[in-house]
Amino acid sequence: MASTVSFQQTKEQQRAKAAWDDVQEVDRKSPDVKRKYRGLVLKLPVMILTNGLGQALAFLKSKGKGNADDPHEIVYAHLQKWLFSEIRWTGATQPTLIERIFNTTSETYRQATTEALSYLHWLRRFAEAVLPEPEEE
Amino acid sequence: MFKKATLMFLYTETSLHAGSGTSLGVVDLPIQREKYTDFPVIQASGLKGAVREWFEFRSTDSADRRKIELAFGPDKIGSEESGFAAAVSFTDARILLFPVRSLKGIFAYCTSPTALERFRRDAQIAGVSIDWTIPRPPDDRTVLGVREGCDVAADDQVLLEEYAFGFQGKEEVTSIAKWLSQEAFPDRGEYAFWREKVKKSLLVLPDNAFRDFVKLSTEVQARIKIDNDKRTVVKGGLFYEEALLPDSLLYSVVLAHDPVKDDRAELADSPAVLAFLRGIDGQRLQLGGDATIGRGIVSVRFHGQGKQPKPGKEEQGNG
Repeated sequence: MASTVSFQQTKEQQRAKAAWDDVQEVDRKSPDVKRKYRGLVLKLPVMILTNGLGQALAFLKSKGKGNADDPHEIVYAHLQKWLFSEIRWTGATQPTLIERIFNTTSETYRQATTEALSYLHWLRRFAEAVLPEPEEE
Repeated sequence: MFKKATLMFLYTETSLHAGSGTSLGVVDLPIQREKYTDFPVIQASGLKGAVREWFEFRSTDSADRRKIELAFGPDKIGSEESGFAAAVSFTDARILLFPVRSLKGIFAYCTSPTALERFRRDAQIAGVSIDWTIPRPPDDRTVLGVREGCDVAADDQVLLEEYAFGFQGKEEVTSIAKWLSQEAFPDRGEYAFWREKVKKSLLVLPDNAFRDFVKLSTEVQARIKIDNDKRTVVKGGLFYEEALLPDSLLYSVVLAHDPVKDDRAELADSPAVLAFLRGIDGQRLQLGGDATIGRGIVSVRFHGQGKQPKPGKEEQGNG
């Protein structure tokens, strides 16, 4: 028999890989964007815990104003990409994450919240490792 | 092996930080949790130490101190007293009721089939038989509450934090709520309101929902360290600390053995040990970290004898 080692990756490996790619993408941008992105992913988990995922995403949208180069929009895009691929969105087929959040079931919303936190866990680790710290005031 | 056992209920009155050290997660200082359920827990060693401290603060003479040594074990290892085991054991304090913000009724006392079934099993160790049955929510979107007079449901809906659930009233939940109100909640006068509240606000959540709430709905406080000269935050001096919420109910099984040391004058046998321990029944205790910022005040209630349930006059004002 051939080797029985499974080639299936763990969920954590998949998250780590996707998060690493996301942070590498940010690392090619301007120093200002890098610093702001780092600060954002560091504070986002607590923001989700205290205000909820919907509020946190609305905050990113209100700051990013649809400008694809804004760090807020970049974080939002990273979350959207990951959650779209990982969550089975019951009853929600809208094209943007925030619309799906508002239209899906309460149960899926809860799953999305825990998944977003698990993903951010890796994003912030890698952001801390790769991206520059904000300059001292 | 233990000879006598009972249940000790712990009702949190302030946030409780039984810390587990540092973490790589969202919170810098998380609370203790069970590995396989992610439910909050208070490890037995911390609990035993806090109970011992309560008795030590109140000990006045050497007879008291001797009882404490017999019950909790010797204070100093290395003296001639070294090497004898305590006569009392505690199990880790497990979560039974977890408060969750509700759109209606301020908050709901939440539990789940798994939490209740474990409680039933643990109660068996303590020789407490449970006469209620545990209902199962039909799916992951529906919570069960008391049959009559539920104060957190509106039109067959319950909104917990920002999550909506369907609601069904069940007679079984009413029985559980009554039992908890009489047997588990502190029985002092200031708890009259809360003993009534649980009879209206108890919810049995689907296990998955309960797990998510105990994971995501604990208290997370941002704390800072101030530079005394600059009066600003020290760089890197921001940290997040997690705490179990007030109005949570936990329980531990207390097991009593005959004291190893034959010292009949002080504590003769396991019933005497348990009777001694009941000195803390109905009292307040400080558990966990951050005592000086008011954390960890819990009300202790032992199950069984010595309790004086006060039926009838339960609507008295508590001002």
